[in-house]
Amino acid sequence: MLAEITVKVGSITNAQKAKRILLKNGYSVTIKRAEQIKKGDGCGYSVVFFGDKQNAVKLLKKAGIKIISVSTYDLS
Amino acid sequence: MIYLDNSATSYPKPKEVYEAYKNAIKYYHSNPGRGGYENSIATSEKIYETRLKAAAFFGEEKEENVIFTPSCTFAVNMVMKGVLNPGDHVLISDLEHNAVVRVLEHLRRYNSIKYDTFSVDFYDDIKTLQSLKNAFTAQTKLVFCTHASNVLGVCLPIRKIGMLCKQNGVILAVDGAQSAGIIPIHMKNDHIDYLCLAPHKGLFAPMGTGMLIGDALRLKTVIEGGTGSQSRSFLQPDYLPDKHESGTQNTGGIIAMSAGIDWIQKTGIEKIYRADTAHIKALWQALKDEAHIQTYVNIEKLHQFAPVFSFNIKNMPSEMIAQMLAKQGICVRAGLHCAPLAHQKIGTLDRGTVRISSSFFTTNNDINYTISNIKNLLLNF
Repeated sequence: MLAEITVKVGSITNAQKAKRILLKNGYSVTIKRAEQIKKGDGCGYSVVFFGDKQNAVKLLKKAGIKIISVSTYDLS
Repeated sequence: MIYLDNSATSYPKPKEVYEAYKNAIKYYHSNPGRGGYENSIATSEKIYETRLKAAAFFGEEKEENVIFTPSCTFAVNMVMKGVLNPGDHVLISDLEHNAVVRVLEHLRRYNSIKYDTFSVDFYDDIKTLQSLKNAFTAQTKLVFCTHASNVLGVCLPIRKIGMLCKQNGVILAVDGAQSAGIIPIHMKNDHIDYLCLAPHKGLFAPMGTGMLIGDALRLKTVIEGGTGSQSRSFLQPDYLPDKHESGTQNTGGIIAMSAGIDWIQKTGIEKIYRADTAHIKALWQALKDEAHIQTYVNIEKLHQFAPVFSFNIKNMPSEMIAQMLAKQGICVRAGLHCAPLAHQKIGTLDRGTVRISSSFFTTNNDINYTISNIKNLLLNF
């Protein structure tokens, strides 16, 4: 399955921090404005990437980044 | 024009700062942390880079603990009003700026905060520490002190004060307005909980920039509002820096600050310190023995100081001396410099002092011309 992972992290600063952590760990990451304002807590930013979702979430949590939601979009 | 008022704000700035400021307005024109389009993200990236640089420069482990503010005074307010509760006791040095004193006086009158001062011995750190130690009470929650006096340049032993605060379970907040960018400051090694900064001085940023560094998550907010995040909620975000960064940021100023930090690192802070203080030493050497000149600190006895020199001439009002120098194109500041406590300490509360504050860009010719003009004023006596 080719899946795009979107992790909503709230602020732009959180997204930038998350991006750097994931880049360091070999992920290819982009920052996007969160699309679903009905879910979670409203506006904010997400990091979007492909690869091992669980490992990525673990890395972000370890760095103290607040994760608001994680969603997976199947591209296959 | 010879600009010797760098304690108020630095001028000139490195050319890289001007360039960064110009480019910021032109190319990073979108509101950071608000939009999802390319320029907004690119502008946010510039802000984040500055946050990373500032954190590294001041020995702060977490970049989100760097909060951008409109001024150092704003940062001081954030700490005082964020930390203190009715009944708390605060200790400040007897050299503090009104940015500290007025906030505390307000809190004393309206929030039942108590505060006292401890005495700074210009030449003996042990005496300063003893004075602080003697002033601790069971209610002391916060020590707030300047790193370097904006009137006298005298430095406080912040690392030793930090250790003492740590031993006593007291929070240490430092006003680094006069020292940042000239004298190294390290959050962890100096045991500082909160550092309030005026980047438009030693970091060569434009005016309208300020910074608070430290774990501001435990501070109550001073302002609330839009952050571009968590916007369904009527409550302020509970993460940094959003908790304390409501409203649009001074993007141009912050990006220019980044260039200022780069310039300092490229030049070397030790080199900057040597150049800045050499000018003050030259002034002091030339004027200290003049019959009608009063100086207030023996610079030779200080192991470290910020590039500030205060003096008076006989009974002339300090403002009159500054006006006479201004007529010769020399920009200095006179009066109380918003620091009446310091003037009370040196006995100049009724007349103030003339303050000369140099920078890396001050030249020997600037100093020699200034000395010559001050000596010309002495011919009146």
